[in-house]
Amino acid sequence: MKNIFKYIYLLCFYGVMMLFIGCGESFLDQKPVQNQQVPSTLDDYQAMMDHRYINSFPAYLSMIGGESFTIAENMWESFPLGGEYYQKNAFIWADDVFEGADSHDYNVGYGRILICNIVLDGLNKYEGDKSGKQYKQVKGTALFHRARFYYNLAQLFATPYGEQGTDQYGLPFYLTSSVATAIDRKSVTKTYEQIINDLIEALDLLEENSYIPEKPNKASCFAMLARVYLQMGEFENANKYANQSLSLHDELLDYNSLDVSSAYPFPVNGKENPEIIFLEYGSGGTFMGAARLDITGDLLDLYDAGDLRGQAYVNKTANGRKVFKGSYMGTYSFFTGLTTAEMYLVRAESATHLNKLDEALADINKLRENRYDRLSYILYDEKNKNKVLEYLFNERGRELAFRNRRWEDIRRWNVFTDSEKSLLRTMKNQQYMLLPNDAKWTWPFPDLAVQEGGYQQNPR
Amino acid sequence: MYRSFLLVAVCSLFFLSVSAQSIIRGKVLSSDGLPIDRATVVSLFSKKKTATDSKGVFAIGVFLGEDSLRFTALGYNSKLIAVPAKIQDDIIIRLDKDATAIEAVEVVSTGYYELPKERLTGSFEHVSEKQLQESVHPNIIGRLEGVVSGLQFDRSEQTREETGGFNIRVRGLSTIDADRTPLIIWDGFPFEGNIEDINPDVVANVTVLKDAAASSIWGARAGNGVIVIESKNGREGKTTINYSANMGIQQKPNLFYSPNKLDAHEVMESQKKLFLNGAYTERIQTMLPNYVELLIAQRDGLISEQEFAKQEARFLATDLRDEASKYLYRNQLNQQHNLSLSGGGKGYRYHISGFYQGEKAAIKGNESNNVGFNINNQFNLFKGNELSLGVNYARQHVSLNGVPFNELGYSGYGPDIYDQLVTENGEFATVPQLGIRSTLVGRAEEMGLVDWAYRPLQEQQLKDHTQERKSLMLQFGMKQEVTSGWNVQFRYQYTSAQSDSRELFDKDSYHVRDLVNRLTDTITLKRVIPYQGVLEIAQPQLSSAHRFRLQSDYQHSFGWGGDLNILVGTEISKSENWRNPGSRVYNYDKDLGMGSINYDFDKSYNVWLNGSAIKIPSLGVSRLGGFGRDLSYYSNIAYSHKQKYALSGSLRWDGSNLFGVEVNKRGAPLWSVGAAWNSSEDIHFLRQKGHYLRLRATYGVAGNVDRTQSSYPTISYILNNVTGLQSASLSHPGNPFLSWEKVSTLNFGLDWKAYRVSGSIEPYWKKASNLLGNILADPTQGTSSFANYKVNYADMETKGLDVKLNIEVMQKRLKWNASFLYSYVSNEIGNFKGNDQVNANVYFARRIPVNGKSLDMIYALPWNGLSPENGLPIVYIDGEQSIDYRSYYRNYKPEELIDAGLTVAPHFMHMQNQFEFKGFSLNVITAMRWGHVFRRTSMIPGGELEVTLPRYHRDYRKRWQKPGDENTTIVPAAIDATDGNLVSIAMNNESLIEKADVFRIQQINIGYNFPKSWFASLGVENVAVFANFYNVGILWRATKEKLDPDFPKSEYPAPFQFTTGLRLQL
Repeated sequence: MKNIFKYIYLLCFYGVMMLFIGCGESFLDQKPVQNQQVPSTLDDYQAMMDHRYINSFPAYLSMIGGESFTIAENMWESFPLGGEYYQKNAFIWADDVFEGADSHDYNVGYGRILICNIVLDGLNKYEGDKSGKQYKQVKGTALFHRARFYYNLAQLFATPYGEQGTDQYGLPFYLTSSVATAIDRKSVTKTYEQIINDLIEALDLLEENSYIPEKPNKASCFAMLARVYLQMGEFENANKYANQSLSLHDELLDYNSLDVSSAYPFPVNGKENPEIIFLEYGSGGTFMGAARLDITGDLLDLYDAGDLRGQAYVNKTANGRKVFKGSYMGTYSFFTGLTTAEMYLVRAESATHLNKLDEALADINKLRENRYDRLSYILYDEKNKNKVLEYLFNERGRELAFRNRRWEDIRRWNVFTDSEKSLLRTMKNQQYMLLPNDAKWTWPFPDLAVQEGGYQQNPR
Repeated sequence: MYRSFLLVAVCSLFFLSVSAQSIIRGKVLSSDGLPIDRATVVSLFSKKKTATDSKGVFAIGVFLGEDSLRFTALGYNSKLIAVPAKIQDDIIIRLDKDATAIEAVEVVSTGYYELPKERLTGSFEHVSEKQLQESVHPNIIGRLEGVVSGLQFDRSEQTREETGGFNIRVRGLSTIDADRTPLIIWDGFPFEGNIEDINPDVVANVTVLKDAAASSIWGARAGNGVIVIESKNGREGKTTINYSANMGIQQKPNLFYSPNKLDAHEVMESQKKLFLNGAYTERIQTMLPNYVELLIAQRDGLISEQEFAKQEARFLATDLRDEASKYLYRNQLNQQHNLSLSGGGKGYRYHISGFYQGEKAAIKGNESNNVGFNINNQFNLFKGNELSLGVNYARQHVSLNGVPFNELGYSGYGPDIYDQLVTENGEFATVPQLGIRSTLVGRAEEMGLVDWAYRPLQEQQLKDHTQERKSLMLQFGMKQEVTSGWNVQFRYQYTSAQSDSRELFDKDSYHVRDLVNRLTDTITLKRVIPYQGVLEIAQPQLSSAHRFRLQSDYQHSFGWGGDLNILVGTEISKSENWRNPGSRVYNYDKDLGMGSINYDFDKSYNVWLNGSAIKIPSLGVSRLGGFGRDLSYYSNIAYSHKQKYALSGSLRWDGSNLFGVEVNKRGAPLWSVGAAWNSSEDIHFLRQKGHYLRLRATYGVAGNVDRTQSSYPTISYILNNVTGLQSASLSHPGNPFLSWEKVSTLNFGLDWKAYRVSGSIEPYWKKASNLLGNILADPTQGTSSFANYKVNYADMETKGLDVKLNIEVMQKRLKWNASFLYSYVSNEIGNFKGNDQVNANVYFARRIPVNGKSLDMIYALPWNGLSPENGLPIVYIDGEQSIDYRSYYRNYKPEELIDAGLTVAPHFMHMQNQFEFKGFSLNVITAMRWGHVFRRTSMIPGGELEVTLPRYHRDYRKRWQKPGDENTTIVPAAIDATDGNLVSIAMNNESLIEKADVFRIQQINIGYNFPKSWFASLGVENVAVFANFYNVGILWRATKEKLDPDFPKSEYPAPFQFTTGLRLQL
């Protein structure tokens, strides 16, 4: 009897042993984290492009260095030391901005480009159908974003396009995700050429409708091309692409329909805002937080009494501070994306340069109509080209306040127009000026990039 | 002596069969039922000698009724018995362990196999139950301090109030960035739970595996050393019941220890100065210190001069540390009860135990209660079969309702030293809170808000925050002898654990009132969330694992005196952990138990009077799983020849479901070889004198796996809660050149026993290569924004020496045993692939490897004294004295930094003196650490005059005040405005580097064993009582500062603890 048990027992033993041997290598194929993946399918690449951070770019340097605002003296004094301290230096365009610290703008910008490159490399190696709708849309999206990030970086770290004698200070760029090999800075011309190439290639791939403003479509690609060409001073192209963008998407938001007195008059996350062509949001860092940022007269004085933007954008707090509330994000975070309003302004500015004043005035007034209180709206009329340009400069200041456009506007202005613009800051009774032609219109490369990458530093 | 005995004994075995006397047969067992191999049996009358075999069996010829047998075995107390006139059965002899003998024949368990220490070649350290009982540390690992050589407890990283914690290092470091903790094995399987789930009282012994031959059997995770914990089993014989209980009291922490405080009058002086300079912004959302509010009230004529003077006097007379000590702290109380039952019959053994552990922590309101039980059963169903079943369950319940001194405010902002917790009238005092001014707090209700005052003592009463953790372990094992010497065994273990946390914020808690007010509309006064309680159930975490092992052992003794042990096995494990959605319920009525989650958590609301916007706080709603899979094959071989020579080898392949890694990189082969020589067997002189000398050497390779790294890009899916799309973030950009960390260890050992001195000396070399870490890379590559992107960037060489010395000073009625454990360990970075740092200042913020230097090195700027003119530090730029602190600090070359010293002691020694007299015992453990340093804090120039976050330090009293002071002090002058560069120079120079050498009494244990006769009539077998004094104090320290060098960053050092208890055996 006992022996029977023994044999049953040994049999079980044998069974377990077989079970063990049956476990092969495939046992180790289980992925360790449920939501983790080595990207390989089009859905994976699409998901990588749909992440929230793809729609952001923290342009601390140009936001802090370019927008019209100030902070209270005690806030200035107590601004904390540490990784964000360079924001304080950026406000007064200090000689040594980073003081050895990292540049968040630079690191994040190139970090996002790496993601685009991983997607593009993956798509190149993709073994499925490369002519399908989804494949094209993902590839177009990655190209669009890569171009957008290079453009954003170029406004900070490359010298202004078209500036005399500084063409060698373009960006270093990687077009693949294998980043082990060292690269050099390219010229500014080459940098913009690359941006345009990506956008043109994306144009054929992107769909006409993307349904949500977070995803780029043909209209956003046209709009981006218009923005880039305007910055390059190629007004024909800027005009053409703004026009094409508007032909697909031209709706404006009538501010008369808004409750401009509410805490945040615009819909949260830009949802259902008809003006948004492409959603991008930025950040002014700790320095431009709601507790610090005070809007000054420089900006407030631009708004006429009937201009609804004056009320929609500015929150007058109980203790007398004036805080920004006009972001198309519907919260305090800064919207920096593409809108139809910006396209009207690009079309108007390029038309003015091309001496088509009538077209420019039509666009200007179209926008004014949607921005002014119906009772105080009057038609804008002007025959002098330079005055129209001057008007457009201020109108961009009004319309695109805290949208990260002022820094590049002044850079462009000082290259492509006769009149010159500068920036002025006052802090603790000391004045800081950023004059036209000052090398400080281009930020230095972060110290680590110069040290590890061996790039030539920007003049300063 | 013993050796030669043994030799004779073994030889005599062959003659046994021809002997003419009666043969007595029997078995020699240890007190815990294990057979004793090679115990000597001597017949006093017939003068015959023999020795037991590996199963403890012996047979010897005796003269019945007139003979006596003496049983001796190394490590056991010898026993003499009279041979009875008649023998029916085999006799069973139990020998008690000789507790004082360190060089005992220990059966060492590696978790895979057990071998007598004599046959091992590697570095094993065995800790017996008795040694573990000498400590009352609630954590089994904590009980190893001072008992195991080469094991270092580093507390230099402990901050704030974490005085109980430590980082443990087995023989120094073998990795830079990866997990540094040793692998813990409990009852044969890797233990991944909470160490508190193991009741120290159920532990039978602990073995620390230190070198490659010892640990490489554990493979890829053994690079940091292995600690093997075995729990108690039952033994054949009558049921014994053990009960032990202890109660401990730990002194209230000394809140006056921290140097970062100043007295009321000094703080008030600084605040008055700032106030007179107009430094404070008087607006409603800016918190102002109470004294400043008082000065404002005086200035604005809101209070009379008498009232002002009265209030000011009250401030001057208050010390928040006294208040906190009185209302927030208490003496910590611990108690522990253990009850166990063990015994067994033929073919059956059991050990059942239960425990309760309660702690009323030093912070009033913080409590923990642990209960658990452990059952171990063994059955022998038929010959050669052994079946085991084990269950371990533990439940930990923690209440976190206390308000620690450090958390009175919010991230450093909060009450000043002159603030009260209880007013003169006995009411709870209000202390200032960040983001709101006290004057507004008083008017909140008339403005249509709810009470906005923060009263810490009220919070202490309202808090209801509990955490619970349950863990279960089931074990099943089958062992079957197939043929003689060949066993096959199967083991299975299941573990599961769940942790939950629940916090109820009362309607009247500050958390609720503050949130209600902040989310109130400035104009309409409409509330976004109702003024009701909030219930927060944190995301529950569940984990479980199945582990299987199949192993075959073969043992054979050859005729020529060789013994061979071979084992091969495979192990497979599968684990899961889940994090379930948590919830935050608003409008929660605790009496009805109902609330609501119907709020718009995505919408941003304006903060009352502030200008910024916030969302209603909510918790994560994902259910996320993690999965681990491991597969290993291993084998071990040990051969010994005639007790003289031993050889060993091991080989293991480990694979796991590493993600984003090519299949061939998922696993790594690891191996070791070793040899030992008992030279006392071969060297005539030693043998003659009865000395014992053994030499051994091992070499092998173990590893370290970093599961966060991958060679392909990997992404993590996450719902984009704005667009509602499935999106993915890049979790790792992929490193195609990735390879695993490897640790090779060379170990030599010398064990000896001569006269009354025994011990061992073990020098070792560890070479860790391919170590992973964050490298400074060109940010253009885009990898800088991935914090966990690591590359193989350095090697590290660790050298060390472990010395053990045991002296039997006295072995009379008074027994005195002294033991010394001394260790030296150093490490050096080599082959560091990172580039040189741009700037010296990064070395103060982070620990950065430097070629040729220890990873524990800290760096400092030179100190040139204070300037006689202004009392500020003197610095030189290009040899010229300068006051341009900015360019000095920003441009300081890293290579010019001074190597200030190591933060972890390279030398450490524990001395243990054990005395026994009659039933009394005394054990004193002292610890000495030397050769290391710590960076102390000092006054920050201008720190006390910072408006938003003043930083005080008692060195303020020693500051430079007038020319000439520079000859007597190193503390700079107080200045009006801080300069970040000057502060960095003042904080990071060599004048603040202190020697950390320390000599302290770690613990004193006094015990008394009552004579057996006292309680025998009650059926009680043994009664023992003890008193334990832990953290007794510092005998000597190198620094002149009143700081504990072991706790350089803590708010206070670990307080003194007294524990008393009893042990009862029925």
